[in-house]
Amino acid sequence: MALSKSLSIKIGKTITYTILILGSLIFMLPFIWLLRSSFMELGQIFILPPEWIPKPFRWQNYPEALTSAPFLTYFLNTLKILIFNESGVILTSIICAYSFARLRWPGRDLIFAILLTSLMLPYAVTLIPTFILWKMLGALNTFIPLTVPAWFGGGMFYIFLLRQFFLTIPYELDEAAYMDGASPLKVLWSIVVPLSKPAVITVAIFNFIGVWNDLLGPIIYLSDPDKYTLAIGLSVFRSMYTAQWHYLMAASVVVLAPVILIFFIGQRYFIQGIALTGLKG
Amino acid sequence: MYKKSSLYSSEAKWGIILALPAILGFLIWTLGPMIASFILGFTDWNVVSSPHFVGIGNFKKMFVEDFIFKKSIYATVYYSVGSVIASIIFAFLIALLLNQKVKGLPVFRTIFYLPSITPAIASAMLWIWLFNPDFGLLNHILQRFGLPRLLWIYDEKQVIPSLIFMSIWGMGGMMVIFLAGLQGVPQELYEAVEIDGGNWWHRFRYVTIPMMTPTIFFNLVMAIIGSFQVFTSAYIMTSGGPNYASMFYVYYIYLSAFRYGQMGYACALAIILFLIILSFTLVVFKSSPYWVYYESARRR
Amino acid sequence: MRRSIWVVILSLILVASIIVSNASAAVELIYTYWGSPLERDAQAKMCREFEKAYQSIFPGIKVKDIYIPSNYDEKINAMVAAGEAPHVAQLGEALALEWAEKGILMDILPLIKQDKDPSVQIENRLSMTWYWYDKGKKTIGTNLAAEVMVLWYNKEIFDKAGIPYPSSNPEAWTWDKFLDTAIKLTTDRNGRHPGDTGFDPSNIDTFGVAFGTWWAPILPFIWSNGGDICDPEGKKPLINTPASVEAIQRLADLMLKYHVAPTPTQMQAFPALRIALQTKKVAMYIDGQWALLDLGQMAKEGRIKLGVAPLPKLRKPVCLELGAPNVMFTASAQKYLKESWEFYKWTTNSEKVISLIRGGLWMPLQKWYYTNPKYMEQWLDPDVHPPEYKPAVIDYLLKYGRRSPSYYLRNWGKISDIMYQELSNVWLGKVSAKVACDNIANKIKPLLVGRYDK
Repeated sequence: MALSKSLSIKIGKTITYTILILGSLIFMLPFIWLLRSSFMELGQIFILPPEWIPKPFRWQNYPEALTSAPFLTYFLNTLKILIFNESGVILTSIICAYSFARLRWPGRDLIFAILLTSLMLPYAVTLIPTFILWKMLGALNTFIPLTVPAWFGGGMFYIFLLRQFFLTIPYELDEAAYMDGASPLKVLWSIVVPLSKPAVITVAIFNFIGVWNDLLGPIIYLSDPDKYTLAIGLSVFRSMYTAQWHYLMAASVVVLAPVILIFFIGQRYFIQGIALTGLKG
Repeated sequence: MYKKSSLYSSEAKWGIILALPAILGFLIWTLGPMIASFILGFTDWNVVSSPHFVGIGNFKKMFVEDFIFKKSIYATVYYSVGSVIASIIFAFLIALLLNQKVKGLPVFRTIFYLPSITPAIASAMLWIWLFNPDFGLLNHILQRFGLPRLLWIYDEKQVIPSLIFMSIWGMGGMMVIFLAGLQGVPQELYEAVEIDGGNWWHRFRYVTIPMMTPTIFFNLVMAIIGSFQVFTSAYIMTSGGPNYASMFYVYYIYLSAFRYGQMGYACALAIILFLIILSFTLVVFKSSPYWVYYESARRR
Repeated sequence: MRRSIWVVILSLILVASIIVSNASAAVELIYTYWGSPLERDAQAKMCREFEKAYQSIFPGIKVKDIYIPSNYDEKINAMVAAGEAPHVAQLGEALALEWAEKGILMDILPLIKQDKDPSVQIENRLSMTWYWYDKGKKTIGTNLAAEVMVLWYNKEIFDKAGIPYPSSNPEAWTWDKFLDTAIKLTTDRNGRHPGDTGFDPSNIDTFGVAFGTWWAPILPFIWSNGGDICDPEGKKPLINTPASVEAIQRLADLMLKYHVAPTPTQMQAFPALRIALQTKKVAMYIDGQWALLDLGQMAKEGRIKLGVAPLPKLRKPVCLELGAPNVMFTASAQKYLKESWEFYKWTTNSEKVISLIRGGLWMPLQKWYYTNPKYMEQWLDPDVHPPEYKPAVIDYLLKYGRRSPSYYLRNWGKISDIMYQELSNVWLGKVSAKVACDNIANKIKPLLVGRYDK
């Protein structure tokens, strides 16, 4: 009646693999479509039903697309912004989330709720007041609007996320450290953060992707072409009357590659959590 | 229960200091623009001349005359409810699958995450093909199974369900967060259930779900906040049609602000959106003590 | 003693350098624009040539050309709101006239009157390209280039079917001839035409004609049939008059009754209609003449035998002219009026962007390019412009040109969006043109508040 354990495991595994493989094929579709389009001639990209083998195989799309604009400069600019931005986000979001999750202070939860409302107004209406603000600070046409706010918490999305994760860590660990005379900061870095590796890595990955692909910020604040970023470089391929889809696809694949790589490497740290044995007594 | 009183006041000091970056950040670049937007919602500002107060004129216009506003609210709420539920369930299920010891796990995880990092324009183009009533893959599949063809995004009644279906594709981010959350579930709790003779359902129901509630809570709140502000699919794929059926709210705000030159009205629209999102979020937050379990919640 | 001498010397140097730097304070003009990479390169080149040409008159002058590839409206709004408006810019039509009325943009009429330069005189440019406001007393200038809607066709398909090309004479190219041609050129997978027994509308290989469903391909036909969006005052809707409704119904019939045109969903199968023309998926299609940039290039490379014709007439020929204006921003331009004005003239002097005009993207603004053979030679490239270009496009424009409502109708942005949304159901075959037009008329009534130029 009850299946033997090994048989039920086998069935479970088969179902799992089937779903995963089928799902993968479906989920890979946009990327495969992107990839095959990047090697096609403009006219072939949109033929319906789609053809999956580029005929002719236009590897030239890649060098042509990448040399049509100073993509190396764009890359370096994006990198500059990324380094400054990413370090700020990781550092300050951890600190702030820790404060909201594990330290008690008057007004903490109310302030957290108020800060959360910053996510509820669409950019269309906050764009211009923010732009004016930056103009008053003299930061137009610089990387400042794209990097400095990252050092002020990095945005409530990440702080909220980390806060949720920090709240799942038993407080006994902190306690033990406090007993030993540690300061809250020490508790944070030596206990809480190491136990939150997956969450911190998630924040790092998401922010990386966000900065890498951000189009609106750079377009609005930058005016010198030699400051332009990769996202701006991509947007050029699609303009008022025409779109050079084949170049757009090729360039997109190149711009996408580091993102995939970063994710692939990062998610390896999603290993099953450290056993927290013996603490619950 | 725990500490000496001196630590509490020093704890408070630490707490405030460490939270300062976020608080300062909010005061400097968020609060100002937010207040500005609120005030502008009561004006007729068009960016180029000085704004004049019109009292609740914008809101009167919105609720009485503006037929697009009503369609927009309907489309957005409909989409939001469908998309939040579908995406969360799907993301959770996939995350569970991707948390097993499966061969090629890193590859699978990356593949499922791919659609959410693929450039929006590539995804849009792909989906336009998928949805095409004459040549699209989806109708092709339906026909294979002897089912009637659909019009998908070209039909007023089908466009929102189609876009909800498409949003499941982009659940990669939520899935990753669920994955991270699953890592934090202590192994020995699972072992305890097994020792007590429980099977996978018991493990799921009594360990996984409760331990995952903080993550579920996060994804739920963020999904609500995010789905109410859906924009790209209307902007790139449907232009708000057919016949306003997918005129998502933020897309309408964008049109009002930048295409019709009615920034004041756009701000008024945004205020309404803000209140809607805030209400839904508050409801979820208020309900959280009943279903969210934190290992270490330290309430004052 | 020695110290004080140094102080004096240093202060003198300081004062001198201030004087010198102010005297040679170079003017930097800011110019924003959009476009494809080709346009970007051409506009950038134009800016560099301006700098060179005017170095002696305005020493040290520089143009900071800011190319904004996307989100143009947001950026320009932000710049203006923050007081960072450019001196000269390309601007969307809807925003342009609104801002002109508020004084943000400069009325250049006084400047034109003072200037002897023929390229900018009112009578020397195509009259329909001028943007008038304040009851026609003021103007912000013209388009960057003239643009019209025409009918492109693939001569090879005509040759193979043994059908005569569309007439280049706007009077002779009637709707009936057009429909007949389209039917003859529409073939399904088995080579049958609409009307033949066994014609399969769901398996069409080549469509006779295709057109986009935004306002520009549709409006000329409404006008041609004697209808309009609204009355000349811009206060009453005329979109649901029988003449207007009939025009729209005829267009819908092309798709749904005669199956000679693809529906919007079927058009997804083509990337851009110009590619469809080349790959023989459509025999004719309606588009702006800007398509010549790509089509002409293909023709040059021998990949297509290109033809161009005026749009078929219903009752009388009409040529729709459109295009976004180049403008001067009052606040910034005032500071350097002479320089900004010279630069503004430069950007709309077709001579300076002749390469793009020759390439087919734009049409010139100054009349002598249409009448003086010496100038016509400069921009009509026989490898790019089809041989019938002169009668089919130039004469068509000069004789029957009519400016788009974007030049004068208030709330045109919203009105055209409403039209697009309502008509989408007509192309899907869900409602008749009459019902949709009645809906449009109702919805645009509160928006019809008049014109800028009357």
